[in-house]
Amino acid sequence: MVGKMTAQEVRTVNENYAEKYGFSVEDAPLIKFDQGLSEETVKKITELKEEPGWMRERRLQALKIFFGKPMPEWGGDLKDINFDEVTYYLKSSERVEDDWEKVPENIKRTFERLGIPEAERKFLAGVGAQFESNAVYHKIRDDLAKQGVIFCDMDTAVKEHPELVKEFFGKIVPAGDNKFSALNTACWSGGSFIYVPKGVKVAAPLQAYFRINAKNMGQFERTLIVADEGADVTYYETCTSPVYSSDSLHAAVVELVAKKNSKIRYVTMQNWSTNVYNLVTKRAFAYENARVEWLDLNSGCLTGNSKIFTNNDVKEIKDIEKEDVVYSLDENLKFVRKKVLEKIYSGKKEVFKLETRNRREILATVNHPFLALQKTGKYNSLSWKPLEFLKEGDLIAVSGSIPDFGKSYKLPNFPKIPRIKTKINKVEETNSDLMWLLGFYIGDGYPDKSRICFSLTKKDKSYERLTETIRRLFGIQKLKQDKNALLRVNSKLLMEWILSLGFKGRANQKKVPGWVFTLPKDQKREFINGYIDADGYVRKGHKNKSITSSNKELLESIKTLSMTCDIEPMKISKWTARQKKPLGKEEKEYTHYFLYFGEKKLEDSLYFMPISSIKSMGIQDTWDIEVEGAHNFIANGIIVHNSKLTMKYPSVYLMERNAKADILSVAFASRGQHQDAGGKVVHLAPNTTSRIVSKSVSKDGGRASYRGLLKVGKGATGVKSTVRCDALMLDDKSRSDTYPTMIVDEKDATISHEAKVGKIGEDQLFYLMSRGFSEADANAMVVLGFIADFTKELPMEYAVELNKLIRLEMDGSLC
Amino acid sequence: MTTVTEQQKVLRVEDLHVSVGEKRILNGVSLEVKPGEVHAILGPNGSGKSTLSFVLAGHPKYKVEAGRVTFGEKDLFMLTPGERSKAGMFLAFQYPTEIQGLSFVHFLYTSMKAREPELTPQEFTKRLKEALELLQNDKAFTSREVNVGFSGGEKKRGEVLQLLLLRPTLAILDETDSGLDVDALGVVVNAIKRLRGPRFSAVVITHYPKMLELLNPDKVHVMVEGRIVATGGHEVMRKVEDEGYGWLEK
Repeated sequence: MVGKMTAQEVRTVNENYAEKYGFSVEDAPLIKFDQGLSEETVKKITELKEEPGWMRERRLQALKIFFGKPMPEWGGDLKDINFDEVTYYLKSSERVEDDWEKVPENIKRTFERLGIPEAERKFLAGVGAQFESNAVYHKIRDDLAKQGVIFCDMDTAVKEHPELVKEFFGKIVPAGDNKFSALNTACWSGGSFIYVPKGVKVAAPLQAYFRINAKNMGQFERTLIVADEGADVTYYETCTSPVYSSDSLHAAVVELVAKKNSKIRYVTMQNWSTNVYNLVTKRAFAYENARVEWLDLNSGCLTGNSKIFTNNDVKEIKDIEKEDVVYSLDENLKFVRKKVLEKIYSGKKEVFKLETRNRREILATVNHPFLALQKTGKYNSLSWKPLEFLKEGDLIAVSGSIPDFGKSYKLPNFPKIPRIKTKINKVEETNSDLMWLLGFYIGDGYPDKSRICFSLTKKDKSYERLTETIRRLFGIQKLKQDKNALLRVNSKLLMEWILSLGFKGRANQKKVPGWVFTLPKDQKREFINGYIDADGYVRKGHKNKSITSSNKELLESIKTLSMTCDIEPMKISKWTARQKKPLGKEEKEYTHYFLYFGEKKLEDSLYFMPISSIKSMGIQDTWDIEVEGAHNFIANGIIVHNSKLTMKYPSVYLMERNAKADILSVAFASRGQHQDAGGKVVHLAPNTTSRIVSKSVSKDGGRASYRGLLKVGKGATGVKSTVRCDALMLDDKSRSDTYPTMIVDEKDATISHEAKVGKIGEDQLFYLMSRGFSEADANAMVVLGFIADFTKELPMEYAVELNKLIRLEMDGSLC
Repeated sequence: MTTVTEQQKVLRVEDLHVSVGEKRILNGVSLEVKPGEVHAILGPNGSGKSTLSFVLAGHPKYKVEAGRVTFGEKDLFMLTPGERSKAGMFLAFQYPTEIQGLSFVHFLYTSMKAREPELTPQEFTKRLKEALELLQNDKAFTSREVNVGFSGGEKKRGEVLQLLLLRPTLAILDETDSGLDVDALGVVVNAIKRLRGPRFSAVVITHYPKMLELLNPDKVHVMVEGRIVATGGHEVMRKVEDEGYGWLEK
């Protein structure tokens, strides 16, 4: 959980920021919050929102309930949630901006990301028109407004439509329903409000796109939809709708009221990262002859070479293992050590390169959340924001000084070389001097037959230190200084030993050996200093120190290394020129890279940097890691969040006769993911009917569970209900479970329950492949067929989007 | 006219040995199909006919122990099932697989589009209509899910419908006649006859000679215990019809 900062820290963040990088944030303090949840917090929320007294009362009442409620026993394991660690801040915003301008960019990007060609976009005429044109959007809204339809964000609704909100808010999901609904009622912020008057049928679906710019959409969003008698409305909470949930807890409440003869369809397509605890209470009341339909799709990274900062190492994400310890931000924005619970291969996905102004860069998928500092009105606030919703200039957190858990490295023995009798002193483990020497070596040293050479003259400022260090550490006295700027150390033993430490190769092949990353900070710094002393200088017209090399990879690893020892690396720039080598005949093109360093030592754990660019980098393999507790980690010096467990059980209460419920949920679970989804239907009146269809697809060891509750209350006679759970597993490693619960108090209920677990069959794949399809296409076709019940309910553009996503997923599963 | 010469082969199977698990099923099958030819393979149950068809189409369950197969100019075993299909091979399954949720018409369109990227929906509709007429099937047939709930006869017609639309250069028909009544058989045979020409060859697997009488193949092979034990013309067909396979078994 992020956000609880002391005033001191807040100030520090801002101060350093301006001072160090010449980038200033207006003198706007971040909201300071109390530890955990208190009456004060809630009062502050309601005050900031300028809410009427009745809402304030409801919040405070809910808070009391929250304190008194036990944790729910229904569903997955929630014992790890510590409410005192949750920060109940809110992002202040005076009004919801009607900033539709920004929306088309996202939509366009969605289409591009999915690789839908121009022609096809045109073919889906309605989509283009609807998404890309401001006018159409407003026209729809105007039409609706004339018919009395209200569609706005919840905060606005409280102010402008208090009579409606008062009547229905908390009626379907009362504060006292469960601990999370109490929490939500006390702290809610953002969400949609829809009211459809009597007899009005809203033909086009209302979409959550509308809410994208509602900046106060937080982790406790609250949605209320009321369909008056005979009304008909469809609401899409689409994939592009952000889950701005902070770290560990996303407790939204969605309430639907379907009055007599009305129909509400609520569609969720959440294929982005669902955050750690996604505890959404979605409930509908369906009155006489009304119909409520829930359609719910859940599915959910960094590229393989993202460097993760572990407690004393830097590893590429693809090499991270269970039990590795990584740095994670705690609620006080301090780095703590946390264990990696799981590494998840997330398949081939389109990735974007995000670069910050201080030249940190990372490749991540659109859904990957970053810690963003946001200015809303007078206040600044912190929230996890998916890349999709970040743009140039937005501030994101980068790591500063991380804790030092490094240890000196035990050095290997000298290699055994026949016929070499000269003895030199052995250095048992690394120290600053040795690291400086090795840093100098990587810059200016090289092996030459049976000796080590350094390119420098006696006049070089480091000459003394170099010769003195070699003499002292190894007891080698004979050093030969050549006229041609060459210092020779005639020891084959030393040469072989240095090579055995991982410093093989000539200048353009040298690498920073992995163990260097595990050293204490001071040794790492000396290593970099040694390199700077050998190869560094201040370039003309630049004020910062830089080192130069033709070996870009080497500079990249020096860059990563410096981030772990409080040195701020800046950009790596390229320099190309045509010139002759001293003895060369022909002019050749030479390329050099420069790595610049910042002037000051990093002191604070966190800095906020503006994003300088976001670029698509095509489709690549992606990974994610699951980190205990805090769920965030440092990748390439940038703070990122992981993606995780979803629990969603939309429910419908059939209140009056002939009411109908239809719950259709689809879950995709891949490696390391646990999707726990299903539905609940409570029959409370005669002749009510319900259908729950749950489809789950699991692959790469993913786990999908169906959890359902069907309840038929006393007096609800003539009930008909169908429950179907179909699971499709794409391999032997994956898992699927069903946990159906039925409580039936009337004997004449007709209930059917079917559960089917299947695997993609070799024969099905072969049949499709024999018609010209690739294995991935064939897999995707089977999966799409499996969830056809769901897709056929979707409008064309969503179906197309879904198809492409599944196709991408399948690619991933087959490599 | 194309430059198809007598010497060219559509399919050349040389001494093919195939096993499933521990069990050897094909024990040295050799076969040559020239452009425009229709070959029939007769044989009792379990003689390896269906295995041959699956191996040619590339089913992963079968292991090729020895032998080589060239399809056109290519080494067949270097191609994936999808590539074989795109290169012009078509297998009409004896037991077509059901694919829940996948609409037949969408499936047909996608598989045609995969080999003819320029295919327009209009052109597709036109060809589909022609093919359906030829098979005396109504359009409702294609709005169903692939093979789901199809009767035996419908499944076979579904295979022939794909055969007509995908226009392969080599069709392997694995007991397409079984489960069809006389009228339906006539319809199917007519459809195949329509395809006959210098650019179309077929290997027709059956153990009922009835279809062959109607189809009039160029060559007839008899397979017993994983080998082709007799090859000839109509006389072989007639002998099998009169005497069964007893005369060929040792």
